[in-house]
Amino acid sequence: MSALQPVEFGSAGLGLRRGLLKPLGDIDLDKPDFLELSPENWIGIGGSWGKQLRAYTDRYPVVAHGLSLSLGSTDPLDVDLVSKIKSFLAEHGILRYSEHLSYCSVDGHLYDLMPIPFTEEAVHHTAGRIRQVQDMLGQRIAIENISYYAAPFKNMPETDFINAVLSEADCDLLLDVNNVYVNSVNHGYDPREFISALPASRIAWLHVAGHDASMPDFLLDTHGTGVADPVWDLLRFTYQKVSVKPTLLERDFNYPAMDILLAELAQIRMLQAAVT
Amino acid sequence: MNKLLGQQRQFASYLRNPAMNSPPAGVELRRMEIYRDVFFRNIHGLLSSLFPVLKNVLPAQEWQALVRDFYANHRCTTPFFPAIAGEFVEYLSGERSPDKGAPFVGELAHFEWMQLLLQNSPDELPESKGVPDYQREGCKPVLSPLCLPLVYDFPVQGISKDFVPAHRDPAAVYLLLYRNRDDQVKVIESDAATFRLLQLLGDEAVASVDGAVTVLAGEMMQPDVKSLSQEVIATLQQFLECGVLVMPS
Repeated sequence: MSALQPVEFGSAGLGLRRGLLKPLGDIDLDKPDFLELSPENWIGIGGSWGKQLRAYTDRYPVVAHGLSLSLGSTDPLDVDLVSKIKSFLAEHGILRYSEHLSYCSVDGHLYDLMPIPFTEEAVHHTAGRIRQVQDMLGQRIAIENISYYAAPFKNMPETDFINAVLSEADCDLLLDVNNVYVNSVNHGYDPREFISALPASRIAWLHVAGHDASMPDFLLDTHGTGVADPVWDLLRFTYQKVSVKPTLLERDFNYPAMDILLAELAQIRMLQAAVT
Repeated sequence: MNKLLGQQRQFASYLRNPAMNSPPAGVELRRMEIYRDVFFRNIHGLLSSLFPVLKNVLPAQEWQALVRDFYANHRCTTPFFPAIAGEFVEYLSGERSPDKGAPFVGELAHFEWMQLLLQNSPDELPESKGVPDYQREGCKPVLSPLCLPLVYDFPVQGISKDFVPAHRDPAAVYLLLYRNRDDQVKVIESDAATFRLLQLLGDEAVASVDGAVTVLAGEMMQPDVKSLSQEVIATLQQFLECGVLVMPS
């Protein structure tokens, strides 16, 4: 299974949220090149929401970013969810699928992302489940590095953990540049060294988002503000280091005027164009 | 996997119920408290968006306590975010601690969940076919797949910040909740006789509208079958127009 080339879904994308459906419909210039959605918010949804979604998946290249598959969990893999995702991807012509390198369920769902212990045992467990998902979907998936606020039971460096999972599962990486930055502050490491330690050839696309910096020494990965300057700097570095990749802006709440989000997409394109 | 299982259970149990469970050893407490707050804000936000009326009418502390109790005690199986509403209603109907929430809470949550189900349903109303010939054998409108007849003890359809019922209604509340052709969810305040009529129309043993009227007249001890029939036909016509009823294809 070979990785797709960036050109297949464009350079600067926007996360599709219910709160953005209406404003996104009102623009005709400088549109996002692609959109990204979470299947767990849309599978089985009809009515006015379903029709609006269909209008977007008909008009834009779309990728999917899953929330509930719980790849690192010790709960049984939700094969029913995988098969529903497979149908959903086909139904909407969705180009790629990604999930988080995380778990969100233990004897049932918690609906938020927990940090997989950075251990050998967890590498094998998670990589096995990713392989199973790839086999069922018949396509290579990408996994995203998450933001985490604690690293319980850790006995290896995070980059070793990520690299071991990527290589054992033979999957792609969705590199979230904001998460790297947030983690670098919260766990005291150099974000550039971190990105340099990842396999560039496996990076399928990138995420950027805003974070909450209201605590002086600790950042929260909220997706509720504009992208911060150090994250733009890190994105520029990432393009230089791993080459230009499709880049998606995530904004989950506290929506500004669409112009502001489009200006952030313009910023992404500008950084991409400046790479020599 | 045994070690990993124990590690994950320890981490998750603290986040589900930090009052009862210890955080994992060896992790700075502040970090686990940040996790605790982030996870609670997340589930609180999700449920607040799924149950806007309930969230709005309950005192903030009572709503938070309910969300906390749900998160600590209910095991959610759905991976789908809109379906968390169903998990919450299931929790309210069976697992809620008795001291959590006013008596109308369960019914109001159920009513909000039903609205969400109709709003999100992938079903579609068939095209309207004009005025049918009710005299014809087998010409019998049926309930739309996008209509739910609902019976409650509390007048849930009228609950707002300005009207919070303290007691059950002496008479049951009959509601027809439906999605119209513009994909809007609407409610009609109905009654027991209309619900019986809808039930008769859905009964295979009842072949026609006239048949349903005959049964209904007998049950209501209504000797004036003709005027009842006119009333029924006017109701059916109104229900066909708004999308409560449809003609089977």
